[in-house]
Amino acid sequence: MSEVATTLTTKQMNRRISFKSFGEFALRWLLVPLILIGAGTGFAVYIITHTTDFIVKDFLTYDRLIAAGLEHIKLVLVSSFLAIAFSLPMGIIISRPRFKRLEKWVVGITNVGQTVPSIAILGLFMGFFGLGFKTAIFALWLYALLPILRNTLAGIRSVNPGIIQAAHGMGMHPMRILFKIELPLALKVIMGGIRTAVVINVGTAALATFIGAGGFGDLIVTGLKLSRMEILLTGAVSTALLAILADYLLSHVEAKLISYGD
Amino acid sequence: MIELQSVTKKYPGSDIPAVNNLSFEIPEGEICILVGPSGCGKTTTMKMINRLIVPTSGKIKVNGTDISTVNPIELRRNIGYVIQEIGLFPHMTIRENIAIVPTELKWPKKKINQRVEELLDLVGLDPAIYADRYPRDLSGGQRQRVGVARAMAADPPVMLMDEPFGALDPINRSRIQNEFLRIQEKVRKTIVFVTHDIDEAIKMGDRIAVMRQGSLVQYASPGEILSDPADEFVENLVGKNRTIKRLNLLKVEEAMEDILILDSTISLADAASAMDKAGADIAAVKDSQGRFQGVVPKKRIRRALARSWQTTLSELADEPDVVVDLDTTLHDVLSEMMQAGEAAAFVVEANQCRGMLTLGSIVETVSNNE
Repeated sequence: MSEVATTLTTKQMNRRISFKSFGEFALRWLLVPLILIGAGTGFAVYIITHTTDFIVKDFLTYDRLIAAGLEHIKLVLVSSFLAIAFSLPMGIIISRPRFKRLEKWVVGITNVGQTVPSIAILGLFMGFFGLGFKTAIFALWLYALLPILRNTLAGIRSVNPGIIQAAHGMGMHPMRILFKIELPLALKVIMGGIRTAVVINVGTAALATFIGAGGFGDLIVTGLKLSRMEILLTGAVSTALLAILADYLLSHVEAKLISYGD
Repeated sequence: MIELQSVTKKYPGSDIPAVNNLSFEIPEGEICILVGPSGCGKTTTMKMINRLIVPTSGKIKVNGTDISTVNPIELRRNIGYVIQEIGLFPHMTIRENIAIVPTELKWPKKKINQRVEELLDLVGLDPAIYADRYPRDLSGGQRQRVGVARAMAADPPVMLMDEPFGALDPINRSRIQNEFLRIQEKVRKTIVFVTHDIDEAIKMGDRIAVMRQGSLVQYASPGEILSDPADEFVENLVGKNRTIKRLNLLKVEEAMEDILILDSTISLADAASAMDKAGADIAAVKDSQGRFQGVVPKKRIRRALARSWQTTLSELADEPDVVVDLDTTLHDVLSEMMQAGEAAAFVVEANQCRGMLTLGSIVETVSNNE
């Protein structure tokens, strides 16, 4: 049912059509998210109401679940936003011919960020920033840089040089060429990078629990420590559903932005 | 007018200049074709005129102004630029594509829309249908028409065209070439046109600059290039069948024979005697408003008379298979005649029969022009 709805909506999204009614808007944007949220909530409610284990009952409260969810989302949103704010302009700058020699350095440094395991980054920077939110944000930010930067570069490079030369030949200002031609044509690839980065971050944010930054990771780790499958599963299922939700929403933003489709 | 004065372009790391000491002039309102094998420097030469490439030495003047003294962006807005179909921006509608330069020049919106529609009409695309479509919705020929319209948007006096019709199939290419020549007839731009197709050069050019390894080999009219090639290289480029190539230079007008035109209301007997008197084997038939109805051979009238058929001249007249107009080239007429398997073509313009062409009249015209 939801699968049918998804293929139908993505097909329609490839055309520039404004929403004709609230019903259509709801079908396109809200149906799948509501199903995902409903599945997660249903799972949690089922476990909370059906458990007989008092340890599980004591730990798995609605308040704790909501708090963990909000923390998780906050970690992902803040780190992703900062990563976009840094990588997008950086990618644009090093795609300009005169800054080409910067490319090796910038991509090299961000590559290192990506190579070092996330848990190690958390440990390393705990020394500088201490425990908690800031360190987690820094690690997640570092992790999201590369996909966005790489795709921004690749996207701009993928624009047919003939098109850019035509724009120059007609006397368009270089700045206008960037904003009117290069970025719109690179948008699909750039959005792909942002999607990858955000989805990775949803997973990596589950590790933030080790430095006390909260999130669904709290449930997973507690579940492991106490050998309580119910707690572990609640955390894991919520993380997975959140990743799918993020990907779904971003793919819709992407389709909405790229109106000329194919 | 475009003047090149000892223009040379050397790329770093290469001993042989891409363009070597090139000097020539292109008079206002003419089409100059740069032709030659790939790597001969024709595209480099063209791109130096709008400063996409900066010459190593030498001077280029456009309408009297040395282009090295002008801001390149300003310069380019006054020079139309057409390249193969990839040049259209895929994420913009046809309207937005054509409006690029007027938008850069900050024309008011209303004026831009008016201009877009005027241009689409000029290149034969209905604005109501095509203005708000995307390039991917158009055929190759239509995209190329849009490319031409876009280059003319701000009415620049000079246009550069880099193999503009190269990606089209032969039939579409010939059609769009004819249309373009008709438009040029009206707008009289100074045009630099790059191609590697010598037939296209002969057909489109007022002058042809033949280039080889960065140098100018011959700069002359198409007729001169055909009859008097400067050296062996030009001779080979033009090919052995120079007489056939000449067909590209000659228009229907020059080979046309008069045709007897009969009123559809006269009797078959009158028609037959009129044809006898004129010594015509075939005649055109026009209706009472003077509109062309078709052609009728004398044999058919004779047969109808001999068998006393109850019929009229308009019923006997047939729509001819090959109908051309005055500025079609003989090359195109001949290929249409061969395709249709007909030995005659009829010239019809504005619903009036102007004359006819036969294989004989074409052969005679070509040999007289040699």
